[in-house]
Amino acid sequence: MTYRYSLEDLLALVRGHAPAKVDTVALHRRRVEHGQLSVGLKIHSLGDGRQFSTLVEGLGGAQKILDVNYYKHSHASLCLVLPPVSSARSAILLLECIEHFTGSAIFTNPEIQIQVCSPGRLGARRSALLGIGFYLGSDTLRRYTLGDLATSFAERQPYPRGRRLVLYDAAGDFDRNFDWWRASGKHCLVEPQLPFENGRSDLLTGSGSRLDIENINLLATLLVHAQYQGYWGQLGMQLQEEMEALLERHLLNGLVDAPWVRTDDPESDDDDRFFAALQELVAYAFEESVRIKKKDRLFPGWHEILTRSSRGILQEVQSLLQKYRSELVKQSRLLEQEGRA
Amino acid sequence: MRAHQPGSEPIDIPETIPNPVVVPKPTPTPKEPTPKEPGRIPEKVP
Repeated sequence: MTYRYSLEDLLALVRGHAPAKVDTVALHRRRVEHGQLSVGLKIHSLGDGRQFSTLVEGLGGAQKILDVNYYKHSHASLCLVLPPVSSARSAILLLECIEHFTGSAIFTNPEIQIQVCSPGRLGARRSALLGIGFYLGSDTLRRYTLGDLATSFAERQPYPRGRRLVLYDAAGDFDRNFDWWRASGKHCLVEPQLPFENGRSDLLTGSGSRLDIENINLLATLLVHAQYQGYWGQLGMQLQEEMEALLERHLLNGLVDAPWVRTDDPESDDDDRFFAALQELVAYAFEESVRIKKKDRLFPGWHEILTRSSRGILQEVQSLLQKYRSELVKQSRLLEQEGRA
Repeated sequence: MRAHQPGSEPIDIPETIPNPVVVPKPTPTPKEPTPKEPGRIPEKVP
């Protein structure tokens, strides 16, 4: 993540338009919530990006803020990289502050693509689960073309990232100064820095929502903890197993074997293999949504029946995310209580 | 493909649709909270 300004610069600039939100972000800048990962954001503007001109000028001008960053979506006029913040909540507030300043929507705006950046590179399989979990858990079901996922780093050496939903970093700046909840037996040790010097797993959400940011943060936290022996590692392993079982029930378990992220492994460079898997997922989700709408018309009130019986994949993923979100918060509150006792 | 026949409606394939199982949360109003009115001190009854 290359940005040549500080969060403080940004907050000072937008404060006049959203003082309460700016103060909340400033106050919680380093305070992680329930041991979840910090959140970085990139805003790709597919329009002319005029709404960001004053913001960019206020931060030091395009040459300083935008041109230092070679990475952007292929169809974007600009990519604004935001400094990372402690939580999904702060990330959402920060985007709302920018919305106030520019007077233009960022969430669910078809001309804006939000990239959500999580610290730690996930392995191929966990990257697949991150992408699949994001897609099925989102409040919007999207169709893609491969071109929708093209960035300036798709083929760029030495960090070709391919056309994917999940993208590794290109070894830019990395802010480690966020608490990391490390597992020590059954105990939790809070360390003042993330356990990796560099490395991220980003997700190109497209036109993204608040829920997308929350879901990606939850999934990335659990999967990264599972991979790097974090305190939530066990919960992360459990999520991984449940997601794999869920995909198997729907005969979609083969999707996880596709290269959802381009790694150093030369076999992962096949965009088409990834895209075939993504299209299969998209088709399944759209079909499921048609089935639900038909049921809704024929049997109003079926939602209540579904909560007790066999459910479709979309409902199952919502329940899964809800379950793990509640479990993480519950366990974190217990830790807090024990700490106070 | 009946829908492609002349005079018929073209097939509309949307690029995005709402996920039918997600209950939309009310979008926060894009406003900063207005400052609270100063507390009123009840007048003393003589």
